[in-house]
Amino acid sequence: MECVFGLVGNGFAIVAADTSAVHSILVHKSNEDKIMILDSHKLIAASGEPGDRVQFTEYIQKNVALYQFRNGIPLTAVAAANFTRGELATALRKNPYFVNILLAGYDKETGPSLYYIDYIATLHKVEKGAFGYGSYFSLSMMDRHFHSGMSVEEAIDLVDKCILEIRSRLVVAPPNFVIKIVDKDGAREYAWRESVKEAVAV
Amino acid sequence: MKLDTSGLESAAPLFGVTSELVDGFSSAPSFELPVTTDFDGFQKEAIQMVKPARGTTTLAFIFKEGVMVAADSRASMGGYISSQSVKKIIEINPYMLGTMAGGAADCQFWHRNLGIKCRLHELANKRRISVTGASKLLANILYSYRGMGLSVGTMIAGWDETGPGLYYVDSEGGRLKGTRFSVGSGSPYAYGVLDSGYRYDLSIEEAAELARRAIYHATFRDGASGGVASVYYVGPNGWKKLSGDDVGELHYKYYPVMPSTVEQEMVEVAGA
Repeated sequence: MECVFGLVGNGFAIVAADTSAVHSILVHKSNEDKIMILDSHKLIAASGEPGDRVQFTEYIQKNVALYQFRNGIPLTAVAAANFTRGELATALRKNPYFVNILLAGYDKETGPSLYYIDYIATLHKVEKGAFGYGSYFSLSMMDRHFHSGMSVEEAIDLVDKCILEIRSRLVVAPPNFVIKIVDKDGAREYAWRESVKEAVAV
Repeated sequence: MKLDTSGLESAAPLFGVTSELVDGFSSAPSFELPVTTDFDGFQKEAIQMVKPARGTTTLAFIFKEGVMVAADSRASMGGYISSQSVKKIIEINPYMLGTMAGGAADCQFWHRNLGIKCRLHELANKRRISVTGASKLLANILYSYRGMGLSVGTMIAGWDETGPGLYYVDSEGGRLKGTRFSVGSGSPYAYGVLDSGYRYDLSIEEAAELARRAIYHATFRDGASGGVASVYYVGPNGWKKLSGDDVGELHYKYYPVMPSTVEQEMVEVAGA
C-alpha cells in the first residue's frame, strides 16, 4: 500500500513517498514519482487510485499555473491547499476522486507549511502528517522524535528512521522511496532511498 | 415486468382525434424493466459481469535495439476457449503498436480510435505524434469513461524522435512509463522469466527468444493463455513481425521427448 508522509522544519518542509506502482499482487514498476512539483515553491505528494492521482494533481497544477499567468503573482500555499480541497469537495457527491494529498509549500511571508488533504476533502494545516498503511508506523515515530524547528539533517534522519520502520514492519513494504524538499530556494528532489534497483533504459 | 405509468397520463386525448386512432393506443404507456427485485444492485451486477480477469498474456520491453512486443492468441469465455487465433498486437500506425488485454472489443475499438487521433495530429502538426503523446491521449479517453465498465489493459510501444518508448495504460485511468511490462492473467508467470533473462544489451534475436520463451512459460501454467506466441519488434524504421509459433510446438522444441529405457516388457504367454 502507498506510504506518504511529511513534516515541517526550520524554514523548510519535507515530504517522502514510496515509488511502487502496484496492481493487485504485481509490482509494475518501483520508480514511479508520486511527488509532483506544483510550482516553484510547492509540492504535492499524492496517494490513491492511479488514474485519479495523476489526473487530479495535473489538473491542480495547471490551474495554479493559470492563476499565475492571469494575475502575475503565484498562489500562496494556503490558497492552493484550499483550492485543492474545494475541487475535491465539489466532485465528492458526483464523481469523487480517490486521492490523499500532502501539500508542502513555502511562502516568503509565512514560511514553510504542510497541509493534510484527504479524499473526502478534509483540510488541516499540520506540522507532520502521513497517509497509507505506512502511517501506522511513521506517525508514532514522528510524534516521538519531532520537535519544532528541526534542521534539515535532523529531519532527514527522522525520515530515514520512518522508512526503516516501514520497511521492517509493514508486510507489503515498498522497497523504494523518494524524498523532496521545499524551502526558500524552491521545491526540488532531495534524495532517493532505494533497496531495489529498477532497470532504467540508458 | 411492466411499469404502469397510466397514472401520469391524462385519460382524455388533448385535442380532437378520430376514435380509430384512440382505439389503437388503448393500453397505458409503459416500458420494460429488468426481471429482478433488486433494482439498485442490478447495474452493478451487469458491470461486474463485463469485468472478467484479463485472460491473456502480453508483454513488452525496451532494450538497446528498440522495443520487443509479444502476446499469446487465446480468447476465453469463462472455461470455454472461444478462439486460439486472436490478434492481440494491434498496429496503430507503422511505428506504433498496442497490445490487447481485457475486453477484445474495447481494445480494438479504442486502439483504432487512437490511430485516427494520431493521424489527425500528424496532419495538423506536420510531424508524427510521440509515444508519450499517444499514450496520454488514450489514457485521458479511458479516464473519462472510468466506472462505466470498460476493460482495457494495454501497452503502447513505439519509436519516436526520442528513441524507443513504452507505456502501460489501463481502463482505471492509470498510465505508467517503464522499460518492462507484462499484462494479463499470465503476466506473473511471464514476469519471472522476463526479469531473470533481461539485459539491456540483448541482440534482436536474443530479445525475441526471451519474449517468446516468457510467453510460452505463461501459456504453460495459465489456462486462459495459449494458442500462438507472436513476437513483434519496433525499431527506428517502424515495427516488424518476427515470428508466430504455436505454443504446443514450442513445448516440444524446448522439452523434446526422450525415448525412455524400457525396464520390463510384457511378453505374450505361450499356450493357453
